[in-house]
Amino acid sequence: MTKTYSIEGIDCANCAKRLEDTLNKIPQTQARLSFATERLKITAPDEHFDAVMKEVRRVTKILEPDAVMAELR
Amino acid sequence: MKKKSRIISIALCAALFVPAVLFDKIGGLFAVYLPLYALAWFAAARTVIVKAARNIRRGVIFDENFLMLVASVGAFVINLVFSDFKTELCAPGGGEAMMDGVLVMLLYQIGELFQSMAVGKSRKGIKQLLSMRPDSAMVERNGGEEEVFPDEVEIGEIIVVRPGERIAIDGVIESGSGYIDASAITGESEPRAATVGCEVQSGSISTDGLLKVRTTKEFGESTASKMLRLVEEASDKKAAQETFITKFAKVYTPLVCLAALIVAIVPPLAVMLSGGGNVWGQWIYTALSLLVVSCPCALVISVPLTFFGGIGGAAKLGALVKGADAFSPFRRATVIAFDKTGTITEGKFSVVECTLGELDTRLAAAAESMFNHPIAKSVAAYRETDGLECENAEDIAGMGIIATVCGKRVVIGKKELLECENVEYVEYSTPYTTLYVGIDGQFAGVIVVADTIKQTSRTAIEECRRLGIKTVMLTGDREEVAAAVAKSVGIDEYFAELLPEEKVAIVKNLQAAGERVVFCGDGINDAPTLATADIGCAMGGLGSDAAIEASDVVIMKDDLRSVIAAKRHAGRVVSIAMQNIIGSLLIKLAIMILAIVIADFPLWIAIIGDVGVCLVAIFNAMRALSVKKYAPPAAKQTE
Repeated sequence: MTKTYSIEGIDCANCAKRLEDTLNKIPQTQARLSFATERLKITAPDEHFDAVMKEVRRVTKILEPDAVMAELR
Repeated sequence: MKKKSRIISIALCAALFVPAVLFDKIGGLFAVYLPLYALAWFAAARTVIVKAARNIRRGVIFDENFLMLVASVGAFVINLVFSDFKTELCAPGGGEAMMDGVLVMLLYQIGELFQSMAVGKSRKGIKQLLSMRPDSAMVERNGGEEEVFPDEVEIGEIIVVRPGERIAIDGVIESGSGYIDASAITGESEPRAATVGCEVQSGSISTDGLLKVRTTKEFGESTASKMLRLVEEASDKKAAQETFITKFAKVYTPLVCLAALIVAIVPPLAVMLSGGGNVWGQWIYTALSLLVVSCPCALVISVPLTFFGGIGGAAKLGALVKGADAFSPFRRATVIAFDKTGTITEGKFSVVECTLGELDTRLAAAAESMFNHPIAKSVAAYRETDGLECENAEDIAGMGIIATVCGKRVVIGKKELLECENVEYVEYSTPYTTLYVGIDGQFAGVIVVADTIKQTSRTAIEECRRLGIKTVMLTGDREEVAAAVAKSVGIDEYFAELLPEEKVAIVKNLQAAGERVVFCGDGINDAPTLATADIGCAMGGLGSDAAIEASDVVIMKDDLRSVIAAKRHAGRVVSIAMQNIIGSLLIKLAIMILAIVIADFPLWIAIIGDVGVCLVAIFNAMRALSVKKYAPPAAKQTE
């Protein structure tokens, strides 16, 4: 399953890259973060998706405390 | 960090900084200016400290926040350690290095503020492009109108589009008419008239009419959604320059820090050992300048931003670039190969010559109006046929047609058909399809039909010649037709009677000869060639998935000039990226050299230079979004 989130409040391209790299270390997860469009795309197996998202939010909170994430339709 | 808290930090820092400088420069009141400097520093530095600490906890040491802290704290330390208290620190201007330390933080924060404003602005420009996806659609259900999410509308439902509204889903106009502004999709600024039965694309705006549109696609498969998906995914594929910068940034910062360390230790140690005295303060101060320029920010932000802006700019031209990696090969292309039918030409027949009398022409048109073949349609559309009665219409397979119009026996087709009918005819010589017409046993003349050349093709090919690009036409059509079309549009070289795999072979041969080939095809059977070429341009919108898949660039409008415009734009995007890379590196290098060569090179000049080059690079990157000068003027579609 792939879901797209808007993620605002990351203010440097390097920080975005760093966050993306860290998120990609979560097992069975593929993360794509676009600094320019402020979109985060997470792909993970359906059955683990909620757990993965919990981890994604936790990691994001640590690395980018100012970032605001919201799911997009 | 939030913009507001950053502005507060900057203001607070400046408010403390000004009196500190006064007490320092005029009075040399150490006891007053030291705490003022320290407080001013802290006002600007507190958020930087938080960030640096966070990154160090995660094992990231060479972080710009940390480096700026080291540089500014370093300035304070040098000042306090290497200055004599009575004769220097208490004299006017004794806190000069401390002033530099505060300035480093202050300017860094101001730079970050400008930078986030500039990034925000260019993001806005890009997001504007992405805003064409509507959030809702008005759908007719149960006798009323209902506002729903567009992805809930099924194929075949009727959506209502009011004047000024964006069409949410692709479909066919069921009722109403008006001018459609499709500029968001095709880049074509001139609104186009549309009425019942016309296809409309999502993302275009009905400028004046109330339209009811029967949807033919799901929302996700509609033009606007597909286009957005392509644009959004395009930034996932990185340009070579971008990959280079990412790799470079990883080694650049540690390397400059190492250089700073060497500068701080080796020269003063050498001087000391050779008995030259204590010059530690001076060299450590120089090393701090190096730390200040060690952040690769100008590159790390501006280069990806350039390509992203470039993708947005191309979209404004009606060209969807599928990945940032397409810009460089597009810019370097030396040959553009075109498919003929539907690419150079309209892809539909029309009458180009007619030697029949007016009445005979109308009879012929009436006879042909009974048939559905593209050639028959072109003749039927050539003249008004109202009131001409037609009967006994018969299709002689592969030969032509026979019909009775107003009591006259009309025979239209190959000359062999006229022979069968015992009509004597005069041979007519043209490369195009010739229809011989016999009426009541008498030869009436010929009608020549051809696939008409788009007016814009000629201009586009002229432009190629001006740019020094070789043009080639590849077609499955007959030799004579190909020769005539090639001559008419002024193409350099053509190959006729080709099978699809032969088109691929010709592109490969060109590549083997060292050419970089762009191939433009209308995308129905051209997918293999599109994939083989260095850059494949699928012409005419998001028609076939195979073509989109195989191509690198999708041209939304059936206009070859868009290809040339997109190519020129690609060239500009790559040069902006190169300017940013080379420019920032040169300026950083210059600052490093100046700092080492000139004794007491002021730290604040180093940081102004560094922040400045970053801002200039970002503003330069934003130029990639503007494409006005490349947009071809609106033109008539046919001659």
